[in-house]
Amino acid sequence: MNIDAELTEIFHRVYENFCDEFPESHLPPFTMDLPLLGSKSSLESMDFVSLVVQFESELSERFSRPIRLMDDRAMSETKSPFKTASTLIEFARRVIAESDASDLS
Amino acid sequence: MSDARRIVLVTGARKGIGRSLAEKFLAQGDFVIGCSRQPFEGETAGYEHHCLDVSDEQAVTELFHHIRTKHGRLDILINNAAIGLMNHSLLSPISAVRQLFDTNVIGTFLFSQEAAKLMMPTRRGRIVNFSSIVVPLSLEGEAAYAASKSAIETLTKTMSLELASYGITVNAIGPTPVATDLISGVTQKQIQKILDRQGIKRLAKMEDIYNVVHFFVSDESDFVTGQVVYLGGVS
Repeated sequence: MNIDAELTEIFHRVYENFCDEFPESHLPPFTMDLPLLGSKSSLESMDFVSLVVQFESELSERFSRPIRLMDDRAMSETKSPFKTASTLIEFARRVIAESDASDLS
Repeated sequence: MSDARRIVLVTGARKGIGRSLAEKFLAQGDFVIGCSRQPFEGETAGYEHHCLDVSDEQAVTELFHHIRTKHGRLDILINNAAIGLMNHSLLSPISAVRQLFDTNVIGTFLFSQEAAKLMMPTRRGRIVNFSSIVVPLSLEGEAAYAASKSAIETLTKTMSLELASYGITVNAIGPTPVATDLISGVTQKQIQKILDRQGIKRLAKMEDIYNVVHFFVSDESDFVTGQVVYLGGVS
């Protein structure tokens, strides 16, 4: 499985677990276009925090090193990397690739 | 098999208040993880020590990754690590002020962030921060230190609201002077000036501090959050 597919699977699982834990939230099913932030998102702000933290935790476990998604770059990018599932997954891929590179240096 | 003992993390655990608190938790049967910039002297069962700078983001995230991997959870965080700066505001070098804020504020912020992430899945956790009576007393010569402790009080109150729905409480204690290295450079006359402004006119003992910490971290205190408790009758 390539890294994009694996990250998608991890986030999909995190999202499904979250929906199962809070069925009263009536969240939409997972798609790559799932809005996470902004007016189109069905997530409450605390739901969003929980999802990102859980995703971070799963990534840290999978890649056996600390992964922090909320870094300076995440805050400085003109388009938020947390806007949709696909942008978050793409951002996570870049963070992991960079931590791979720093491990090698 | 999961560890039934409470997993407690104490910053600044090498000496002073941090060491005393670590020893108290150990005596209660808890597993204690301590950290400080310098190595810990002595080996104690149920205790592990990590050398790091509390404001070093990478080192701190690696510590929490270790806690997650080895212990699977964290029950209590005591944000004790701090440095002091006794100087008139006009005579305080900015490099020293920056270093003080890095340790006292950024360190507390960073540890609280990472601890909360570890506590969220279990829907419970206790974070205790360290303020000081210099905040309500606005002591002259402590501008930078008092400002950093004010920031910690605001952080305590705001994070307590942000984390309440996860079952995590965030409180702070504001000790009066206690005989540690942090006040070793303070003259007896200056200490007396502070004592004169306290309701109860004596230095704090380690037991006074542990008493409040113990209250904040107990299971029964799950309805107590966002509070700052000053010792010695200061308000």
